[in-house]
Amino acid sequence: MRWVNLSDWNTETVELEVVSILSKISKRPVAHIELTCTLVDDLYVDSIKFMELLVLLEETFSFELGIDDLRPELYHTVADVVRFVQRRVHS
Amino acid sequence: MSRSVTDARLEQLVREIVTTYPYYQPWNRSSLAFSDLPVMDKTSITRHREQLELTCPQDQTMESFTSGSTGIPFRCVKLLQEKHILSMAMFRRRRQWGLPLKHDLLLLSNRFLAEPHMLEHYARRIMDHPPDMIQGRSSALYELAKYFERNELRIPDKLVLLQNWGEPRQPSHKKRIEQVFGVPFVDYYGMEEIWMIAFSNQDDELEVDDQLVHVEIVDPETLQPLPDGEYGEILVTSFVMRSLPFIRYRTGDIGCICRSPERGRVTLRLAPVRLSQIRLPDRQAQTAIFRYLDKFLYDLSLQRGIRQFQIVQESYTSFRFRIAAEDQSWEVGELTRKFTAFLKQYLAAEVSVRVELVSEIAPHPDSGKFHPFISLVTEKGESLI
Repeated sequence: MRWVNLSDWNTETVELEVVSILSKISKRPVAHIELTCTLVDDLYVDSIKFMELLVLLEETFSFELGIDDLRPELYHTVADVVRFVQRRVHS
Repeated sequence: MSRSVTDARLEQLVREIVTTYPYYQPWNRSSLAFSDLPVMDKTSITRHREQLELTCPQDQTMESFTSGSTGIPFRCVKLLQEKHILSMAMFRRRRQWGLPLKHDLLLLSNRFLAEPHMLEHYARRIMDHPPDMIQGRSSALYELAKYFERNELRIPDKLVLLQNWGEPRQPSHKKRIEQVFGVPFVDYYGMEEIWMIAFSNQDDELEVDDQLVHVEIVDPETLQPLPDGEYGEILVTSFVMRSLPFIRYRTGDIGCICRSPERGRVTLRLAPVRLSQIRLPDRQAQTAIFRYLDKFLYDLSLQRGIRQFQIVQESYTSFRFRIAAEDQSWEVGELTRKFTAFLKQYLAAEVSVRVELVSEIAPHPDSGKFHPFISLVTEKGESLI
């Protein structure tokens, strides 16, 4: 795991890290992961992979997800995940 | 969710389905109410399947089948997106009971009680690879608890939750299982077609997941809605399923709903019997009549260490009431009289009843489900005994 100071996260580094995590989970090269990709239909992120994603988001960005954050509807596309993380690290 | 929000969601669902599915097009009119839509079951969906099932890319759907233990095996399809939403809804409920995001889940086989070596196999598995949660039939978890106790096995510290699945949770099972494992044994009510309908909340009520489903209770004979608190057949409407819609779908289960507007929740009480047929010489009667025994059976289940009961129709006029109880020495005369009088009243027929105390009642060999009512009378009236 790469340790990053919370204040170091900015729009660009969050996006790079989220794409890197999704690349690892979906076993696709980073270059194939675009912000418009949908998690389920394009990256084939099923419920098990989705849990992995949430675990990695918690570990990497050092926040804790609440019950209401566990809704797949919040994370339809890669851009949705990036936006969600940006809100959390800057809140 | 408030009544008005639910009504608005149902209204939106109605508008969507009458314009999406050819089957529902005849109901496409301006003054249509949700309750005007037809009640569906496995048979009607199978018959009109080509007018109901959306054509979806094969790599984006999954297929499964119901066990067929109720008589009609059924092919279920789900889009990956639907499966994803349903899985996460289930996880949110488990999370409320302390299940971590990163967890190991052990699922007990449906054939758990059919194979003698299973207990040892699963106990070893639990000791070697401790799970965070174990899911299984109430009767299977009960046997597992007894095995752990008998063999003085250590319960893994990691275990946080046990979950029932696929059969009624008996109060006596719950008590013993929680005593042995030292963690909550929560209840789940759902079906393969649409997955979760309700899950235990922190007050141990079976709370309907109103994000996923809308539940109605109807009279099983007339299909007319029944007031809250009254037992009838459970109809369910899925807000998630679009690949194959389940609208006012008959579950075959008997229950009642209770609303708590101040807490914004709807809870469900399930009767320990399903809807099936009692065969009589001139007609069939539905086992839904046993809903009138709910208090009697519930009180019975709290007494004398009763673990399970099963009503077996052996011929047109003879019934066996099987009771699996720890205390097998009690006098069953009063119970026999009460049960005989009940059947005579509701079937309007002369019947004989035998009460039998047994140590165990075996589940269905294929599904592993325990059935509270079975009929051994064929359509031609022959007894299968």
